[in-house]
Amino acid sequence: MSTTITATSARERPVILVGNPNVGKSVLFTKLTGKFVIISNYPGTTVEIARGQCGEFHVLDTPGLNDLTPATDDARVTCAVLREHADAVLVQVADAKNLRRALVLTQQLAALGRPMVLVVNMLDELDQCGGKLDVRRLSELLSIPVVPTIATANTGIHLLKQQLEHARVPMLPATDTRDLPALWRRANDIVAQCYRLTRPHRATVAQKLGWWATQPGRGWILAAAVLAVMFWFVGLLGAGVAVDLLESGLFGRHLNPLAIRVVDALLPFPHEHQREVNEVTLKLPLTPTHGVTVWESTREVVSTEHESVGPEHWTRWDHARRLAHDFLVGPYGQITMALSYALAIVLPIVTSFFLLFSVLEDSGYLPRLAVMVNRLMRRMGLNGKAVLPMILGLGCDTMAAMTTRILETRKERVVTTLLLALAVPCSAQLGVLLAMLTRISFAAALFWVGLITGVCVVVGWLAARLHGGAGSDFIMELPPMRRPQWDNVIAKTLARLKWYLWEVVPLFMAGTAVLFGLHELGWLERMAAWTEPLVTGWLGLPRETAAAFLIGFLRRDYGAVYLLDAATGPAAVLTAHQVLVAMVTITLFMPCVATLFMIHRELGWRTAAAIALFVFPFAFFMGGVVHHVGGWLGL
Amino acid sequence: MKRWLECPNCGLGFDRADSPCQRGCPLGRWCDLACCPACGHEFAAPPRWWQWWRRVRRHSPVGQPTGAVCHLGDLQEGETTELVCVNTANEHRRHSLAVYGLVPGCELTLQQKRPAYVIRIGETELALEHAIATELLVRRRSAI
Ligand SMILES: Nc1nc2c(ncn2[C@@H]2O[C@H](COP(=O)(O)OP(=O)(O)OP(=O)(O)O)[C@@H](O)[C@H]2O)c(=O)[nH]1
Ligand SMILES: [Mg+2]
Ligand SMILES: [Zn+2]
Ligand SMILES: [Zn+2]
Repeated sequence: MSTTITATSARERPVILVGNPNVGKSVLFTKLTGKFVIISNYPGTTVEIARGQCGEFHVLDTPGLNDLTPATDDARVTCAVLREHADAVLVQVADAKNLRRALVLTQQLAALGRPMVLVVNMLDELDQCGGKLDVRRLSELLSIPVVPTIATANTGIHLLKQQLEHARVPMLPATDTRDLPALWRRANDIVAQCYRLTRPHRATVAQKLGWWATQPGRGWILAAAVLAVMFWFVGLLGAGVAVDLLESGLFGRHLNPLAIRVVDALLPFPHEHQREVNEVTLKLPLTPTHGVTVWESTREVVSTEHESVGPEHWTRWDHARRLAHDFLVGPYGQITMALSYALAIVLPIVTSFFLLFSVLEDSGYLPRLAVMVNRLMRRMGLNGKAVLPMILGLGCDTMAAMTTRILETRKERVVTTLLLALAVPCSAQLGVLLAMLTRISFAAALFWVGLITGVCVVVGWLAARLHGGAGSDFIMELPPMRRPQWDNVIAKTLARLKWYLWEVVPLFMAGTAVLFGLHELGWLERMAAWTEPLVTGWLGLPRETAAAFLIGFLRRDYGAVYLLDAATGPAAVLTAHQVLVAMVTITLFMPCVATLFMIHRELGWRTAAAIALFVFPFAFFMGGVVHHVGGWLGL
Repeated sequence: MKRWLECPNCGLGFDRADSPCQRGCPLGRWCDLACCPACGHEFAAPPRWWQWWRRVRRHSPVGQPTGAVCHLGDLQEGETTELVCVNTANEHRRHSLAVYGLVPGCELTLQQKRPAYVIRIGETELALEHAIATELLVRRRSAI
């Protein structure tokens, strides 16, 4: 039976993009619908359905799957969608270099009896490795339209749109779709009739890099190099130079004084602003402590601190105006604190981080790191695959909590999520921590890294023991190493930035408003006094930092930014030892509210609550231990 | 200790310990049946003295027969071989390997062994851990 779908019945028909992981479904989706979705070079980028419109068709992008008996939650999502849309046209996307594997899936999809189109994508890469494909012959063999494309270069997209109307049910002899050896034999037969591959003898630079990345010696060197580049780019350039320029230069020198002047003109009351010295340096950092200074200038500017003149004689209006004045431009002001933290500190840090991170994602390096750390992850009852969500967590823990779907068992998902919530700092926080590293000695920095890793291993091990249940096999596909595509890197960075700022700016404003309120009511001081035994006694930190932990409940990175200000800002109050203690505590501190909500959605509220209840005391416990043991060791 | 058996059905040479029934057989090493990892044929393992006698009669060299089956771990890095079977009772694992093309008869190249195994099947590069790699029985090729 073969049915050609006529144009009329194709209207409003859902079109489902399916295929093996990492074959370019999401690129194709973006080209078809114009909607942005995250595209990266590793299997398991997409873990949720994305929907868009292409002409009259309703297009769905799905997580990749290897066969129709899924083992992971993301593949289950795809199977559910296939079941749900029984009238959909299936567009199977195939990697031209790996046609055989696609054809195994094609045979399984054919058994569903739906109209199909086969897209053979990445023809450019097929050319590079000297392959030839007879598209017409393949189309005859499968009796469905076959469309060759290069999705990234927009080639063949138009043809695909035309062919959607001609989707047909494939005519393949019936087989048991669970008998994989038989499916592979059939795929081999088909490939033999329409496909030729002569592999070149010389390996490309990218291929060699890919091999090195998983080898015992070179792999670690490469990993160290990646880490060093990240430290330099995010910690020194982003969180150091760019933050200095924006915070001291833009905000401290221009925006804050301007805002103060405007507010003073609009809300006059008798007061006098103090003045402070504002220093701006533009330098090219070489090491954490040295750099080439390009430009330097100091100037005196107005400060947010002010002294009231004759407050005894103030009218009620004067008091109200002072309140509004301080709400906007005071020490806890919306402009001078919330916006300057969000835009002058967090923005440059996350921009530099997301830029580098997108490059790493698109290169195909991340899954290779999983090969290197598989042994270590085994100790925690996980396997190397779990490293992917953990690294994504460095971007944002909330998204990463969802990416744990690529793991096979619930135990792995729970343990990975716990470690994400506990010990994986997200982009802004990581940048802040990297910047704080410059304030402590190299030995102390190593101690911090070692301690966090150690905590991960021990907590992971314990959690795996307590949770029970099975782990899964470490079987992971390694994507080819590719040169990152700049347009994709930029698009991804911008999309993440937008989303991040949408989330961060309102929360920072709310947090600042809370701090302002507490300060006005005089409770901030009182709360600092209550937490005295904990913060000063147990952690050995100055009282001022209590506010950082208070606000850390809202967002970990906000608390971290607060501490950074205390550690390296104009009025640094922390000693090197205190910086270390603060770093450990805030690294392990509560995940942000959004992450807890995501954990609740993915794993249920019990797990979310258990994680929150564990993480909070544990962070303080470890901080105190570091304070006492570190003092004793003399770090 | 290795004990080489030869399947009377398909002629595959394999180590006694790789017989699928060897793991999980309640009789353990007292069981006298062997099961061919490639074709699943079950046969009574001949006694040692009989094997020894046959070897003497045939004047064939003692030890591993050529074209014999070994673990993936016994190969050198860079060697290309043919998969004989995935010797595991774990159906799920067999399935998850099969979706990448690891089915009996496929050709695979061992790229590296440490810190984890990396093999190439056609265009798929696959990372595996040691425990799984030792379950892959492959037929060694004399010259690559
Ligand atoms: N050279 C080349 N690369 C491509 C082409 N299409 C996609 N890619 C790259 O392939 C990688 C994977 O693309 P995605 O669209 O994320 O793949 P996917 O199928 O959605 O993957 P999952 O969501 O993980 O299942 C990206 O790095 C793309 O840049 C192509 O036609 N040519
Ligand atoms: Mg995708
Ligand atoms: Zn003022
Ligand atoms: Zn046999």
